[in-house]
Amino acid sequence: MVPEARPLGSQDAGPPIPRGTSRFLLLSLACIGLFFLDLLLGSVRIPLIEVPRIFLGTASDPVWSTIMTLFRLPKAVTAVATGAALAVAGLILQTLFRNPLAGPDSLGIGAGASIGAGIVVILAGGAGSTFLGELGFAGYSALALASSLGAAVVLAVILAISRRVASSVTLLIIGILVGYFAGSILSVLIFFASPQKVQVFLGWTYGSFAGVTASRLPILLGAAFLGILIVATMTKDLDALLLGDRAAASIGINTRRARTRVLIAASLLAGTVTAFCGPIAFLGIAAPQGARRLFRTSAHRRLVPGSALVGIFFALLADVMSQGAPGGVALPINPLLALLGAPVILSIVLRSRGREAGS
Amino acid sequence: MLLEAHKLSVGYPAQKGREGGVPRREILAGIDLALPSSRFVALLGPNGSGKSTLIRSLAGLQPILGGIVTLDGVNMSQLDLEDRASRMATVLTERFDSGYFSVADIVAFGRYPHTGFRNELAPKDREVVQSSLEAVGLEGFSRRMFAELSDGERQKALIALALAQETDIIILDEPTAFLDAPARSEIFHLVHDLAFAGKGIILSTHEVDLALREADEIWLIDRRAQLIRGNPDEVIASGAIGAAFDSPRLAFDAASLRFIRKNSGVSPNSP
Repeated sequence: MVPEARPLGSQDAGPPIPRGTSRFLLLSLACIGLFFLDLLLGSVRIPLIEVPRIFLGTASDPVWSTIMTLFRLPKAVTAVATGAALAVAGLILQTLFRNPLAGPDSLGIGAGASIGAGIVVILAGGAGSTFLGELGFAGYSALALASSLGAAVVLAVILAISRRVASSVTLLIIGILVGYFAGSILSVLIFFASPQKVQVFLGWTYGSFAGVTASRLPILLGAAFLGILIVATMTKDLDALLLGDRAAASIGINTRRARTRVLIAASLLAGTVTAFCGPIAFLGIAAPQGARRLFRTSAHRRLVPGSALVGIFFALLADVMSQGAPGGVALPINPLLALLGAPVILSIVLRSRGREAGS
Repeated sequence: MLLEAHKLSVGYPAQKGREGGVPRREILAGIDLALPSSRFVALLGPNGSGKSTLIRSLAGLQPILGGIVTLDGVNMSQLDLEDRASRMATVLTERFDSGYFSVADIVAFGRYPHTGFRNELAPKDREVVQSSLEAVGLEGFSRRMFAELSDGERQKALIALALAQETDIIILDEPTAFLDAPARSEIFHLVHDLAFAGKGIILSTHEVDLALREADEIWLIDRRAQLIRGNPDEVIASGAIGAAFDSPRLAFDAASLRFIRKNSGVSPNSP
């Protein structure tokens, strides 16, 4: 099915120009367009001409300026950071487990983060808040902290197990079991919680880019940057892991060190995002798949930026679509991402079945 | 000697756990062996005799239980992974999804011990990739998708990967396992030629007749977990092949190098 290999070792000498470059540029332009569209859309209509004026400090209406700098810009930037972080986390987990359906969720990191958040939201006594938006700063910080802690605990467990378990498949099964385990604990918590608190928690599970204020944004951006930086320094190791752990070791790759780095980077990326935005679904699985097919490459030097870009595109598109509901109500992100991501995943499954039948 | 082992014992270490865990399981013990350059060694043994365990231990892909393995006289456990990978290449049979990698991309993995952390290929690296493809008869395949190769071509490309590592030693773990008869012969002839050109090669296989015809030296693991070493003629003459492989109904025939029905017992084809 794959039309043509991207030549690497052609005898014509000199590195050939990768075929995906023009697609990369086009997708970048699309992301920039979506970013500005995302700034324009919302319950209050702000004229296009006002956007540059707002950033120059010469807006006609100070309310527009407030809306833009306090709400829409942080939300759009959050969408960008989230899209990139989850896509890269999904990419490296898919590589580590050599499974196209692996993602932050299948390692149990999202489940761990959800448990942390669930405990804060449902068990926290007397906070008096009924909706996520009304959680005080202390409550919100506790939510973020507990969610990151939950992710970190799962990471520690997976890391400890991975010292004794050689097989990546076993590790993946353990991740799925951790997910079931977390899901059942959450079910019990929800069963005993008051309806108001259940509503707060369910609101968080819908996923939202709107909960990150400008003052908390640097934490999210910093974590995303650090996680992607770790990944960017190990693209050679990641390529080799695709051959299998033993083959990678035989060409000089320290597979244990590479695996530890992948787990740390993935939990940093996925754990932080989950804390701030809720368990965002599908992005982590669909974006790397989209990048592989769009750029026709398996080399991580190109897949890392490529996946990040596709993830940013999906996240911004979902956020733009969420503004499209009638009556000025923003739709939750997760159902929209499922709407975008499920066809991608379905096509992966069908395509891999076709390949098996063809070979 | 390129590779030497003294009093080597291989197997699986004890694992801690409830109910005493899993005890240490020694599969082969007290093994001495040596691999010089320009030598094609075929490692034979029945299923479950420990061929793969021994070959993975020699390749440094699983920890040894005792003894010492040296590469160029240096204790292998003291070499870092990249240093080891620039002295010894390993060809494995494990399947992997090669995705969008071309044949040249896969062979270029052999340059890993020789490139920096960004893995930029210098013109010299591209030349080595190309000459490695030529050495296995896959010139003209570099732009093809690795996933589209036949099993035989795939195995040759993986041997080209090992050649691109530019090591003195190549270890192959059952490289003919999934191949049809002509492709099996081709791989053995190729390995024979590589040894003739100077490489020291250890190849584990179930192809007794091809191994006895093509290899310079036989390492045979028998039923008592002893490693028998010798050139093919010596090993055939000693009767060790039969002792290791014969079943109640089949016996090794030294003339044809095949396993044939024993005369005793009733054969449906006998007149």
